[in-house]
Amino acid sequence: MTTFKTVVVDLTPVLPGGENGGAKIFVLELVARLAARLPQTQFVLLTQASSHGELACLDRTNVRRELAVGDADSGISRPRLLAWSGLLLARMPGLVRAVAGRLSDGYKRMLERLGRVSLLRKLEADLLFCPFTAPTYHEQGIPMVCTIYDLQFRTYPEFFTPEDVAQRRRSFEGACRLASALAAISDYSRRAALAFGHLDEARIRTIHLRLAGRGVASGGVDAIAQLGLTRGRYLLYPANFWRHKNHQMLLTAFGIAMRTGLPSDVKLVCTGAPGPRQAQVAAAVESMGLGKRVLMPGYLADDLLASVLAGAGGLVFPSLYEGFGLPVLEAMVAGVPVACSNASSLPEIAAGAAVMFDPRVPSQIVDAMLQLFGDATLRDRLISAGREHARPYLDADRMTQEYIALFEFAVGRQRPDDGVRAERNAAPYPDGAP
Amino acid sequence: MHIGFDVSQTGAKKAGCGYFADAMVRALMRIAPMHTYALYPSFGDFFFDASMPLRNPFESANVHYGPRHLTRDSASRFWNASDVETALGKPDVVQANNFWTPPHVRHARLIYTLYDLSFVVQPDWTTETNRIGCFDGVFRAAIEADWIVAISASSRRHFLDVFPHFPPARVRVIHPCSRFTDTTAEGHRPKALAGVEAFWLSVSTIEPRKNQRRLAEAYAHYLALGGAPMPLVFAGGDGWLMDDFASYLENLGIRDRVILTGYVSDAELVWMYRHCFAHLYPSWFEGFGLPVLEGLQFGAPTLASNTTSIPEITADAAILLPPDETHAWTKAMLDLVDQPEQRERLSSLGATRARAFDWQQSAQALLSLYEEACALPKRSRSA
Repeated sequence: MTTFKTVVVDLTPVLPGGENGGAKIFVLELVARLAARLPQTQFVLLTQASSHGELACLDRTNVRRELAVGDADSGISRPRLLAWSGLLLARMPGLVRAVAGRLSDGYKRMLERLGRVSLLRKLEADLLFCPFTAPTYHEQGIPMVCTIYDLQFRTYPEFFTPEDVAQRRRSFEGACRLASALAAISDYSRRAALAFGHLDEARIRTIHLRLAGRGVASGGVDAIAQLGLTRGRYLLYPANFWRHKNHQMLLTAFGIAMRTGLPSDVKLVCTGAPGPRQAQVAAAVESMGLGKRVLMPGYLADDLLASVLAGAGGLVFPSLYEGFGLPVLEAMVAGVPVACSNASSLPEIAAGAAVMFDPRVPSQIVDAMLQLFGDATLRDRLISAGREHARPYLDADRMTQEYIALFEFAVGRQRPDDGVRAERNAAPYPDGAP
Repeated sequence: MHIGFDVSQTGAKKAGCGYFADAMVRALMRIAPMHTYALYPSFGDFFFDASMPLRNPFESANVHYGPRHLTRDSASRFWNASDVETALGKPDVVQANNFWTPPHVRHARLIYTLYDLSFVVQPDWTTETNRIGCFDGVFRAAIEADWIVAISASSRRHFLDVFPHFPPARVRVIHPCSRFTDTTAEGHRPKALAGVEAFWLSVSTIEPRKNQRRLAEAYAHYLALGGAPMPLVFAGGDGWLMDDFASYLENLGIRDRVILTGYVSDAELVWMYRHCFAHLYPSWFEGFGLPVLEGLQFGAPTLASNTTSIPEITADAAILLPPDETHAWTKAMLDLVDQPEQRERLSSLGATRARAFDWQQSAQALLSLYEEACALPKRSRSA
């Protein structure tokens, strides 16, 4: 097994709170496990000022944080400059903005490079790991591994601002061009990356998110009663109110189901952080006369959410697009039957252990909801099939090992062409992955 | 009344939706010149056409035009602004006709034209971008509109099935009518039909929802069973997802019996309706189905789908068939060849039936709706 002396992990994209969504939870868990698994390796976490303090939870003997973006003393931080240029761009007409956007991309890249000349060399990095895709700190000669989540910006560009699309495309294309190896979080995302990233198959592997145990209730918290719910008599949709999460369609289907046979005491619970889009959905709930049947309790902390999940009569997941779909597996682990969209990665993740529907067709969502509450035999089958299917996704250790093997593969690819191994890679490494 | 009316889709490249808005507003202004009209050549950020109506065809004291926008972004900023009603001169009524719903109409009565909800039944009949825009627009209408104008009872029923919270009393059916005001017009023979005597006709954009493939199969079978060898004419431009239609016809062995005219002019359409052996309309799903009505108007014996809105148009003036049963279409075509008196009957019934659809009537219905809407509170303020 190769020993990596120093692995630098780019956590500069981490934002405080829940803005990164599921990706942050996954990354923090993975980094902690990598550090535990490789006690001989020094992990240097690159951070930005706003979340530098929060990430102290990862500090260990072999893990330290390095503030790479935003300096309390410097007065103007690079993120602020970027924010200003963003504001300026937003005021320009579309055509001008597209051109200026291209120019500012270059400007931003220059700013980014200015601050980190030879940062990796200063840190004596053997490997750079970019778990949020963007290869910002890449330097020639130092192997880099990037994680690819999804290509939603290609499939649903209308869900992003043009600037956001450009930035995501840059990150994706940069990662594909510069990384020694990549991890895709699903076969679906891997295939999409192969199709659009000009990659060869050997360079990108699927490494599933095996973190389905996060939602297991530790007991002692009765959020269900607190929220005025009855065990088993509600559907749960845990998702932020992004457009691809398809809340409008879900409300439409629920409104129909209420009048076509859904038992009158069954409710719908939509967790997810407050904000303008949540307010829009809440207004629709009122206007549709669903105020007594649809609850929007806001963002729930892990133990509360686990409680609410464990008591649900079903998980309904009508997302239009996912890179993975961890909540589906979390529900299965918790013994909750799942009705799930058949879009993007979800058929791969649900693998037949859920009732599937086309998330664009409300009548199919209605049928799925009615089945969950009307067919006891089906419920039982789904619960037992789900538990069985989700079990391997509890094996976070396996996921960690897959990342370590990928790191080793990346370092091996970086060897000089004459085949002479660099001194630091003295021992041969197993590359057992398919 | 100060009436605000979306005419964004009435530019040079009009399709079904654009015809409705165009004809309706003209008829409205004719029967109610005492009101003032604001026509909006740009409306929202879903449908955006750089070649939006560029001229102001209705120059008169009681008509003015809303702002035009050069980019989707500027249109979006204008129409999504919270003070949009002030910017529009505080109309009493705003009629939305391009699927998009303005979000901040707090005082005017918001009237939303509902064409159809095909995209919630079979999303693959259109692109995903179009589907999202249509669904977002209809959903927001279900939340914010004061009244819905459905172009058929079928669309009305469908809307109420999908959005059962919406008060049925505020969803009204107002039928579109034919574009052709002169039923005596002769039209003009298309070049593609030079020398052609008798022919079957099917008018529609070539796209999956219009079901031309099954009709082609039915026709191939009709020929194989000895049906009179008249060509089948598909009159319409290329729409979605049907690039390989010509090779599909090759595989059926009928490419040389089929004439694809591409997009045709109004005069050519009229001529074809007048001279076709019969008009075949096998569409899977319609919000209304203008070509059916137009064919009837010009005396075309008509075979059409029995689904969605089509029976509302035809009543008993056409032969109605299930769009998925190709053998039924083959049989009906063979029978029609054998029964000239049946053709006569259909032609005459059709012409009579078409007279039931009158722009004056539809415009009057819309005007009455506006009056009722202004006399009643906005939906959000009623019990």
